[in-house]
Amino acid sequence: MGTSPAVRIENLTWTYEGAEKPALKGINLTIQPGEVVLIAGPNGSGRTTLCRLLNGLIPHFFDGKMTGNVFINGINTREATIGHLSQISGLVFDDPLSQLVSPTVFDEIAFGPENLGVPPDEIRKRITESLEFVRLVGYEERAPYTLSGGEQQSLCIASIIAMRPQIYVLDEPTSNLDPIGTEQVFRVIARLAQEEKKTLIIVSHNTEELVTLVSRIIVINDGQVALDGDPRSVFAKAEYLLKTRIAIPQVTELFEKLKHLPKFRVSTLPITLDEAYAKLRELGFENSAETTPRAEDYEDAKSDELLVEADHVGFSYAESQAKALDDVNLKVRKGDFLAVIGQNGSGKTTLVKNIVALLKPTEGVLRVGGLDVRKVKTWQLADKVGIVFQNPDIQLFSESVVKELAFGTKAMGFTPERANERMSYVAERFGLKDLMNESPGEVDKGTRQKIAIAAVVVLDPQTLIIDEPTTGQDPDSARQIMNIASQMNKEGKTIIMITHSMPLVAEYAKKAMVLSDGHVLFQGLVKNVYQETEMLKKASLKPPQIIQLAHLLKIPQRILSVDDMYSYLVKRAGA
Amino acid sequence: MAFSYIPAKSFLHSLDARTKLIAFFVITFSAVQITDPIVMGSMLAVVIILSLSSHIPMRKSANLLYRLLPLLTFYFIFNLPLNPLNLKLIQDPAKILFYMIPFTKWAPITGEGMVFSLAMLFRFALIVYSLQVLITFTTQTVDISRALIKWKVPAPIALTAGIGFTFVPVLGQSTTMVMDAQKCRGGKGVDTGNTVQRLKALINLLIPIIVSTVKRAQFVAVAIESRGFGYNIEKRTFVRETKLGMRDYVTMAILIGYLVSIYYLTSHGILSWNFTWSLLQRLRGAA
Repeated sequence: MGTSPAVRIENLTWTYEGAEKPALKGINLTIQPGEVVLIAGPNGSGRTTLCRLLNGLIPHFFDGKMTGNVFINGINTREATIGHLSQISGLVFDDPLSQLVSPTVFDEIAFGPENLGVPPDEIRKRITESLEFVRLVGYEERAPYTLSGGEQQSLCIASIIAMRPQIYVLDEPTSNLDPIGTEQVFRVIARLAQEEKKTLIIVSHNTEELVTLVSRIIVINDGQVALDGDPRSVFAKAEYLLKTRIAIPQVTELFEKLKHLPKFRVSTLPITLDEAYAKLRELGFENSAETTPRAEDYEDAKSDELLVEADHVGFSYAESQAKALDDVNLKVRKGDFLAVIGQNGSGKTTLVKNIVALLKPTEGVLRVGGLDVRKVKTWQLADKVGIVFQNPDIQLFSESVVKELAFGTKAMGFTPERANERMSYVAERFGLKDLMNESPGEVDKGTRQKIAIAAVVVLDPQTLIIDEPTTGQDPDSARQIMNIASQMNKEGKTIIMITHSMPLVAEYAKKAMVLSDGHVLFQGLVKNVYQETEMLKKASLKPPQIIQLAHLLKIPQRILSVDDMYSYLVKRAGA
Repeated sequence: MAFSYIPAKSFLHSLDARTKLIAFFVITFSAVQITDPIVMGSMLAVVIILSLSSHIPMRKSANLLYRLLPLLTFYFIFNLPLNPLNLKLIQDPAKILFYMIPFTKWAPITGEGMVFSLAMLFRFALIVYSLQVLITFTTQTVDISRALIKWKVPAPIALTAGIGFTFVPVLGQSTTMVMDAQKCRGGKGVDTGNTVQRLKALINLLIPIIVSTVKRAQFVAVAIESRGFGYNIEKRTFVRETKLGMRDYVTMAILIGYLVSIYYLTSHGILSWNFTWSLLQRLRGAA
């Protein structure tokens, strides 16, 4: 067995029961023990299906048609059970709460080994070891659902570690986590690779952070292996990756754009911040000192009309002593595009729930459209502030799109003329015209998300709040939502976006508010937020890679996006 | 959460899940036998004292009853004229004290019937309280699964039941999310409007909850399968010891004694509504 590869896939084609075309076709792959592989590709390209092959979920759990063979440590998965394969190859999925099935952390880790019939004394030993490995010692008796997202996902990994597999397959392990949680999980993954020398197969959009950890990247597109090689050779095909909407490091994207200019011609595209910095310094783009004047704060104020006004607002949940919000002052004016940034538990969601009167401030005064939120019910604000939540499945309940849209207009007592006018407006705007009689349950996730937004926008709220567009979404659909928001902002609507994705803030928002432990750490223009390195550190936030590069080069100009950097460099090179 | 385990060190927490399941069945059985409000009320008091001595705050244990208050009221109002004792005694017009619907001869009520339906109300509270205090608040779901397996319930069924209970708090969270999302679209929730409007609101609430739960169930199935669930289930091990200790045997002995006395007393008609009724009669006689 020592000589067989960890994974060998031969001529594999798989079609799910009821599907028209195969999810994977003609796959041939070999992964050697100890390799750390990143599987990249757009959502729906077959990456998750590939993971399911690696412990026998396909063909034993899912129904469908399989041709070809998969060998795990030399064992043909057709001839083994999932239970047997789970001791060789452990799977971790994206949503921690769907994987945690036990009342305590202790029982959670015991669950796998118990199923395998490991003796209790040995299980106890493994529980201690795996908790030490993921740094959750002392959490044994906690209920999993009370942990933070990062802790939950670390626990999921610990539960797999206790089963002692040689291969770890992690399917989007950080897509539901905030930056702190993501870092926590990546640290665990790095230790598995570097200290334990395990074989790791990671599906992720987070290429920027994983590029230094992985030894190989496999790009799957449309059910086939599109690219396969070490990170440098794969990112060399940056043009293809960008075209297929696969996330690549911002610095790589920058050099892909620059390489057409003679001055920036490089033999290989940089893939890390350090490489890009070294290259640009070599080309003489470093400045001696950063002398950027602070942008004036009133610069972007379009109007004086106050839509949301928080005056020393505080909030405490009944069950805890700590304040979830403390002394928050906020003025949102008509036409603003505000990003509320912070980790999970920083108070972002609590603030927004106060704005829509789902929660009532325990201190201070909060006015929305001139109304004191303490004196109104949530539904009374529905035509003033709309919220789009992350998961469309919890928001849709009607048998047709048209009924879904009509829910709000009926509830708010719109006249039939106004309801029709609004409904045809959103149908046009969100491209739902041909789907009005379809069931929201039958369309794809991206369209469901659009229906959910349309169902909010149909009430014509002056302010639209978007709750964490990146969590549980692939970067492309997050961007689609942001493009809609951005367009609406240009038409005069006010947007408040809650997020921990720093690149989205930089590209879309104009103003920012940074929250940490219920306190406001920063309030002002997005152009200024990235200068405050100490403050960002305190909030455990990192500027996007391209802004970090601008800081290293001490560029005397606001750089917020790859395009900004590109124009700056082209101008400097020309001058 | 009305349904989740409350970690603490207490006598009840330390009992084996089997002992507590038996205790719950014994209490339920005796509650069905007893029809006297004072006796039933005393049993309820004992369970409440047990719960307080197990470090379960009143606020938590009373929460479910509080939420069930509309249902309880409904039950009491209907039970008052319709309980079997009342229906029997109204044959004798002399027993009728008053009519529930004023100025009509509808829904006649007897004194005995009132005593009886009060006992029924306490019975309801007693069963709800015992279930929470003996099972949900002081017993981990894995221990219940374990107890069921010891009683020869097939392991996959027992384990699946345990996993199901684990998801109750998660279900609670998604219910709140669904309600919030609808309020933000102008929905007035299930608490306002007439019956039809409330029923519609309830359906609107249930659909997304069911859809997201079914989706989650598929993910959960994949996740537990990947962790060897169902692999050689005969040889599955359990890391938590379940051993009947001295306190379990003593508790069971007390329960048997209790059950025998209840059987003896009810067969002599002592724990029935007559007890409170005759007490009331005597009080009236004295006054």
